[in-house]
This record gives sequence, C-alpha cells and structure tokens, in this order.
Amino acid sequence: MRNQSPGGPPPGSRKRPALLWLLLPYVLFLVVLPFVNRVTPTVLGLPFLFFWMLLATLLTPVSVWLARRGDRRRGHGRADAPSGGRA
Amino acid sequence: MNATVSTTIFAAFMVLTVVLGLLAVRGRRGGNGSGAGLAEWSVGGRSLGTVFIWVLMAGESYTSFSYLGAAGWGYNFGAPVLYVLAYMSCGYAIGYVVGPMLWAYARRHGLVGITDIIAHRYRRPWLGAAVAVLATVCLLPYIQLQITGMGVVVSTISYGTISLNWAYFIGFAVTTGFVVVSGLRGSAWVSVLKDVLVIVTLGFLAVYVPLHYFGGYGPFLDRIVAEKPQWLTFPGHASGGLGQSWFVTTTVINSLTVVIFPTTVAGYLGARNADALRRNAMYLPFYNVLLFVPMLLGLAALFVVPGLTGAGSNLALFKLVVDSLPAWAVGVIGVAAALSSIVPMAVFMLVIGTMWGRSVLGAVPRLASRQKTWSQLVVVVAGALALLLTYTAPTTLVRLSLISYEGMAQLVPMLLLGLVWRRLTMYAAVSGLAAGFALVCVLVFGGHDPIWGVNAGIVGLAVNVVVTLAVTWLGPRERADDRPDAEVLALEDEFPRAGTAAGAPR
Repeated sequence: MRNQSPGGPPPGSRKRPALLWLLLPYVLFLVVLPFVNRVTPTVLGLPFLFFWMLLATLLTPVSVWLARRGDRRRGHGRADAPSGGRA
Repeated sequence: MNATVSTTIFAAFMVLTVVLGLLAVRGRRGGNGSGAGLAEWSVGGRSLGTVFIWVLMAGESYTSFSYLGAAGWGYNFGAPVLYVLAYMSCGYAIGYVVGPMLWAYARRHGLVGITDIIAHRYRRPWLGAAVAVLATVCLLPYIQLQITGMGVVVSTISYGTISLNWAYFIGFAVTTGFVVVSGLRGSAWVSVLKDVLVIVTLGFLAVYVPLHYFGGYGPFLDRIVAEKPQWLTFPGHASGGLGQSWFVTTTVINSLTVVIFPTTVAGYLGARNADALRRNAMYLPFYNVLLFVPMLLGLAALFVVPGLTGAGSNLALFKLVVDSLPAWAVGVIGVAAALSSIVPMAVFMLVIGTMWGRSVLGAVPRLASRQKTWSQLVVVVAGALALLLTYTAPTTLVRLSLISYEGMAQLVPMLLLGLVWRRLTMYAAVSGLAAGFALVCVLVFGGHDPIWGVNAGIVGLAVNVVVTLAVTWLGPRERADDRPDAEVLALEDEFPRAGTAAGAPR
C-alpha cells in the first residue's frame, strides 16, 4: 500500500478539476430537460426526447473518459497495487 | 408440445446455472476462520478483474425489472420509464469517484460491506448491527420481487405447465444452490451466462418485433409518434404526477443511492484494484443502451396487445414473445429473463448474509469466530423467509418495497459524508438517518409520493442532511477518538476535497 502516515496531505489529494466532467450526465439528462421534452423533430424516426436520452446515454462514457484522462495526466489513475496484502 | 420444448430448455439452463456457479470456486480454498474465508466468499477475495466486474455489476443491476417493469412502465406511462436510464447512467459516472474510494477504504481495513465500513468509521459495532437490520428490511422486498418476477416469467414461457408456486420455489432453490457455496465469485460466473443471453435475446427482439408486427422501424416509430404522442414526453400518459420535476429529483436521489447500495458495494469490493472500477465507470453505461429495448417493446405492445392493466402490463413484452416466436426461442428468452432474477437475487441474499454474519452475529464475541458459516446460514434463512412471505403474505413485502430505495438513500450522509468529514459525529449521523427515514416512511405510507411533484425520498434526504449538519455543529462532541484521520476517513483514493481534512497535523 502507499504511504499512510498521518502527517501531511496524502499523495494526489489536491484538486482534480477533471472530475467536473462527471457532472456532464446530470446536465444532459436533467438540466436541459425542459428544452428536450418534445416529440418533434424526430431524429432517425425517434421522437426527440427518446433520441436525446439515447444521445445522453452514449455520451456518459465519454464524460467518464474525460475525467479519467485528466486523472491519468496527473499520474493518478495508475493500476493500484495488485491483490495480496490484507483481504 | 410447445410447453415440452420450452420447459426442457429452461430446465437444462437451470442445471447449467447451478453447475456454473459451483464450478466458480473449484480449486479455491477459503479458510474457515473469520477473516480470509468470509472475504473470499463475500467479495470474491477482492480478486475480480475489469471484465468480471463489468459482467457482475451489469448482471446485478439489470434485474427482472428490466424485462417486466420497464416494459410495463413503457406500456402504461411512456416517458417516465426513462428515469431508469438516467439514474443508472449518472450513478455509473459518480461511481468513478465513489467506487475506488470505498474499495480502498475497505481493503485497507479488511472490511466486507457498508455496515462494516460504518462500524469502523464511527468505531461502534452496534451501529453496524443496527444499520444491517435496517438495510435488511429494505433489501428483503427485493428478493421477493425477484422471486415473483421469475415466477410469472417461468409460468408464462412454460405455457402454464409450471405453476406460479413451483416457479417461485425453483427460483429460490437454484439461487441458494450456488450462492451459499460460491458467494460473489459464483454470482460473477453465472452473470457471464446471463449477460450473454440478455444481450443476444434483447438484441434479437429489438430487430425482430418491429419487423414482424410493423414491417420495420420506420413504420413502427411513425405509428407511435402519430398515435401515441402522449406517451412520448413528460409527464407521460396518465402517470399520476410523474412529470419533469419528479424525473429530475428521482434521478438525482437514485444516482446517489445506487453507488452505496449494498449490492453495488459488494461489486466494488470484489475488484482486484481501483482501476478496474474506474474503467468500469466508463464501460458500464454502454449496457444501458439495452434498456431501450424493453421500453420500446412496451410501447409496441400498446398496438399489438392493447388493454393490459395492472400487473398484466408487466407481461407486455412476454405477450409479444409468446405470440410471435417458436417454443425454443420462447424458452431461451425465458431463461435470460429468469437469470435476470437469479443473479440479482443471489447478490441480495449474499449481501444480507454478509451483513448479518459480520456486523450482527459477528459482533457477538462468542459467535465471532465463525462469521462465514453464519453468513451462509443467514443466506438460506433470508431466502426462505422471502419465499415463505411470497406464499403466505405477498402484500407485506410489496408494501415494504415502496420504501426500499428511498429508505436506503438515507444512508448516504452517514456513509459518504462520514468518510470525508471527520467532524461528523455518530450522534449527528444517527439523528439524520432517523429523521430522514421516518419522514420517508410517513410520506410514502401516507400516499404522498411524489409530493409536490418531487420524489419523497429527496425530501427525506434534505431533512436528513440538515439534521446531520445541525447536530454536528450544535450537538454533543464525539468522545475522544484518538485515531489519526488516515485511519478513520477515506483520505486517499479519491474524493475531491477543497483543502485537507480538518485536524490533520501539518
């Protein structure tokens, strides 16, 4: 395990602004709802609300990917210690 | 003839399920002691890689509701059913932060579930036991929902040959048959079979049903837009107040709840490392696309089998299947739906067993040395109890299930806020939980959910948080707890915090 000494901030616990990307699904599904709650225009035959929900579903992995990319750039998302130790 | 074919297929797959579940632990030896044996059984020895975690977590969160309820809601109300999609997607996204945080905390301190985490955080074994009892009350109804869901599916796809009562029992027997022995690892292996069947059958139905009944997607969608526009926007068709504000509040509270739901946490803790969880936060939302299929098929059923009401509408999807497909295909689709009951049921029972074995019975010094045995015993007892209540008092648990999710949501401050904020006292966490839970019970059982157009659970959660903060600031201070922050909080892996926690010596 990594260093657990109580003194000093633990490694990598400072601000991680890339995590704000994780709020994107909330924006797509919820914040814009009043604007997308409509049947027309239909896209690919889908009523607009259902098309939008499909789009939001497909963009959710993208938002997590962006958050993860931010973490990896800061050397944060490395694979942790393999199993072993306490179980 | 039809019945023989589909029933034979179903029976063969049920045998395969138990065998697969039992094979999962071949060559693995869990000790009989308290620590290693229980962790091996409850959280798969914390050894599952990215793929198994994906399969397991997808497997446990897509329950019989995906086949029955999602189609039924689509059929009855339309748009409001989209909440399932929204909260699962948002929940997976914030699981990117919460999953690794709980995983690292549990691994560091050798914990196996949320009650264990709470007992450690507040250093009070009795609190873990109390939360275990509360969580059991919330979880037991889900086992019954899976049993009854499986019952109607099996009885439908066997063309009535297998009676409801027998189908209930088969669900219980198959699940108990593997989970008692092989725990989380067995559930993950069975999930592989389940996910393959679910993906194949739903993918097939998504293409077949529009072609068979409407001559293609274009005509099918055109017809919905032209004839059923009421179903296509909020508040949906005759949904009784499931409008936009209900959708927003339900999505918010459910997405917070799903990340601490004991079964989700069991999946988290089973991971080999934190990165397996981060990757899964990215890959799991793709599974959500499959949820569109039962929703759309529910809408399709409006044209094909109009006039279903009440519980009958839950069978909207299966009416189409039985009506349009040969017996062998009906059997395979039935197996996929049955496994969608079995896998979640297995994890629900496993979690209840773990909570009792570790936090309730394990907290009694005289019993503490055989935690795994107690857990396995409680699995059988919990399953049998749910089965018995299904036979004798089916409405009791159905009524309880109304508060399951919104009640579980009240654990969010105690668990998540507690793990990042040292100052939060046990008194505050318990007061908040009690206030929130009581309010949810009053509102839901009083028939006020949704209230003022919003989800009653979020009203409870708001009161919960206010009480928690007030008692923390104004109430009694915690007795001297001299453990360092690193011991109490989930400091490292990984929660965004402005500055460091209070009280950490520099």
